[in-house]
Amino acid sequence: MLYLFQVLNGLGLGMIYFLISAGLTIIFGLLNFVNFAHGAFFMLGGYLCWSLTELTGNFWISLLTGPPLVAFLAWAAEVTLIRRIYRLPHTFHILVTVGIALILQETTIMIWGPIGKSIPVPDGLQGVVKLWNFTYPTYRLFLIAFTSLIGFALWYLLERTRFGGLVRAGSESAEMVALLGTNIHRLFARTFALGVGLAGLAGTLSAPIRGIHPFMGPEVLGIAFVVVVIGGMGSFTGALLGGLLVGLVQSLMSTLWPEGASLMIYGTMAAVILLRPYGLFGRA
Amino acid sequence: MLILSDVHAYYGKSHILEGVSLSVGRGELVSLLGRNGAGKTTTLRSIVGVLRPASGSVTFEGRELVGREIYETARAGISLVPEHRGIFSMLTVEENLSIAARPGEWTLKKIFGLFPVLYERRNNGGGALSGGEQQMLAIARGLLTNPKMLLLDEPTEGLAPVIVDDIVKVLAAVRQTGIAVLLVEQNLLICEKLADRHYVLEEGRIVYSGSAEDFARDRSNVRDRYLAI
Amino acid sequence: MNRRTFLKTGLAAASLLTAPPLLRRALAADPVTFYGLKSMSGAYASYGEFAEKGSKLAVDDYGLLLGEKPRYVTIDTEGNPGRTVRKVQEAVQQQNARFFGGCTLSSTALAVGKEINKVGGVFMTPAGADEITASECNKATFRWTVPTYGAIQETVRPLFASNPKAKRWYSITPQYVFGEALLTAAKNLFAELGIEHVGNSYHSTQEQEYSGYLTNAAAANPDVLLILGFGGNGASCLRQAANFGMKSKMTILLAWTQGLDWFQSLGPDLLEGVYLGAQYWHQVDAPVNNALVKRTREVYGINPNYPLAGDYIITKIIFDAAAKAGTADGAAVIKAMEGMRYEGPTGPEMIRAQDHQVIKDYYLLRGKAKAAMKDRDDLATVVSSGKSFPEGDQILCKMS
Repeated sequence: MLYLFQVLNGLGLGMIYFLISAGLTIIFGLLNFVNFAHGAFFMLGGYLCWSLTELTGNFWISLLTGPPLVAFLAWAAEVTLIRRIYRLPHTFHILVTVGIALILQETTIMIWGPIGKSIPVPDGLQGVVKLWNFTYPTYRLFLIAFTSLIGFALWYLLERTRFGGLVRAGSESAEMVALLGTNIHRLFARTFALGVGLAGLAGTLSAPIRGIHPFMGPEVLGIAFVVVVIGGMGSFTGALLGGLLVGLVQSLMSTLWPEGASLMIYGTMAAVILLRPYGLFGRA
Repeated sequence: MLILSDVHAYYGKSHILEGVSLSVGRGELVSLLGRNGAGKTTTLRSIVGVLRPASGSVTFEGRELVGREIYETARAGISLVPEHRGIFSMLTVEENLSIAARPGEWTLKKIFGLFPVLYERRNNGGGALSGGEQQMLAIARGLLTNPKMLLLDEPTEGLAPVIVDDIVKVLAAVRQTGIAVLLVEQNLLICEKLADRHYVLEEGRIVYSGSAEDFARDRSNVRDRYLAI
Repeated sequence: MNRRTFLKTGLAAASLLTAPPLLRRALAADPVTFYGLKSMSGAYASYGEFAEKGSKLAVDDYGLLLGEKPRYVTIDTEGNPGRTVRKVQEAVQQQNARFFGGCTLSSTALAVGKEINKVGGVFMTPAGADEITASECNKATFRWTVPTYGAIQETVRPLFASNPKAKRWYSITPQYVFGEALLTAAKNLFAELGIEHVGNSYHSTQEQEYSGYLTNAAAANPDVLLILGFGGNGASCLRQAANFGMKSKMTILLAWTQGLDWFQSLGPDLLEGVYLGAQYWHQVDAPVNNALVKRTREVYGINPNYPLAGDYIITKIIFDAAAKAGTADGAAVIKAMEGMRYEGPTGPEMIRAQDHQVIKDYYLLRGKAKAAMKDRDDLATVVSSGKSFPEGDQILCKMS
């Protein structure tokens, strides 16, 4: 019974990790770009959620407007800065995006102050649902359902639309996609915005559970990279399964071996890479 | 339609194209012959913009292409079927085709009509096709963009003679539709069957230019001088 | 007298008249300079910001100390012990710095305390680790904060006393030295009071996700959930415990909280009914506190919180000790501080000579409902307070 509970926790956690990592892996897959600012945009999603909820008193409005705002900021960053450095080696990507992350972090502190904040769970999703003799927070169930929906929508976008086809084709050869007449600058910019927007969405959704503080970026970034390595760089399915795996490991470990919960995440990564060096669904 | 004028191109410090000038007229099928390393692929890349020429001009329907984005050139109506075919292995055959589709007379239906084998394999992954099937797919995809001009880089390379015949048939049919074609090939026979005019490229320069008749006359000469291994 | 004599006498007289001011200036000591070690940047910048305000207020409001207005210099610890030690060394060597106060992190405080002890300076800190006035104590280091023993005694004991049927307690502990210290103190007290310790979950200090630990806790069916994490750990744990509906099922006690600024980040909906241990509370009615509250509102427009109050009184204590000793000599000031009794932000306080630990109150607070709040900062009420410290041979400090 306890394990079922942990599994539910793991699912919810895993779905959040999936959202963050899906964006990261799509960006790496198509743009061949290592985005170390991903965590900072996750944080931004949380903070915009707070501000918008304060402004409108309605969490749903924040959910609807916050992530697109983050996506827009990402699009702006891509058009002005990121697109100039694609052709540089990955180490430069890291340098620049760490810089962006730091700027975002300090700007957040300047605007919202260095102390963390809380966001209340939205009305209607407060309280718990009774499962046998355990209770489970309603909001967490909503999270699992909602993120599954988003995951499905993402899958549909990638597998059943022309845009998705171009993204997948482009991750094999951006040049060939250009030769077929697609404006790859626009494709890249939109993909970057989409990927980062997903991180912002994850930040918005997890804010009522975790609260927000200016240093949440790096924490999340570490887990995102572990998930992407486990799942395989550039693989959407990998991000999903990797995210769920990491979420489940973290949750189950907290029952079996709480001290080692964080450690086991890295342990899982090591185990996966030993067996499959490119991750579960990665390509050479 | 397509005019190259004294195009010079480099890979790093290597001077690959040393002043290439050629033209392809409306509805013509023109071949570009030459040994390995002569610069044939480089010429095609310089036209579409994958490589930017250091000097010279490339005009298409009177508009300068040098310095433009690859996709702009593609949208202007030039479709390159590259040397390694560029099939997206993780997409199905149908997906490979549909992402290329642009409005025009070439539709998916018409393509499947011309390439029945692709229709049969439409749900297979691009990577699961044989060499010949991939080449068909690459050509089909190029057509689906409804181009005004097709650039083909050694379409028959490494393919069995039976498949080569199929491809020649396809190219002949394409030619009938009035699309201009610049065909880069090492296979003399194919060029002779299909082309209206021939160019020969050697070490980055056009060393021979002639109509099909001229070429028939000069054949052994040209072959021995420029195309023998 | 002739002209030469007149001139000589005149010159002599004039110099005699001007001598005393010149002499006074020559003989006057440099103004006492207080070096504030504040985490102005880095992850603890929020703490440093308030601590800085506290020290500045103390310095600005202090009159003359040994004839001069005391000076204040900020040293940014950046939340980094290594860097802070270097900065302290520079200050000692280049500016003859002797009086230091602050440090958010215990690691920084311990490192810095050793350095300052080498030069016979004075250092007072609000950092929390027990060792500061126990195994790692030294002549130079003083500490204002109540360590783990008192934090547990002054929260667990009164809570249990008011609720003796609550016999089953589950603890959630951050796994590092400080968390262990809190847990050990708790276990000892559980044994004394007959409380059944039905379980404990350790978590790493980096932990974000507490659902697993909370599920375990709920499964053990406790009467009280004792959360030993603080700062971000405590916030996340409490937030998620509330999400899981645990507030209605059991009493929740956070034994070590940072006080007002931390409460503000959580809000009354989360804090209502939760028991909270604190070092300082602005609503406490004590003369120095009332004055501090008034002054902080005047100068900064906010109520004082723990970082501000702590560094305020630390700065003031050192100045008062120098005044009492009549000199800025390190050893003399230390002597003046040992055994010093004074009015502090928690009421009457005393610096114990044996281990340089300030004997002061620790508070058990209870979160207030939003509807009951009289103002934005009226987030909790004091349930009980008191002084609990290791005594006699429980005192681990052996100062040479």
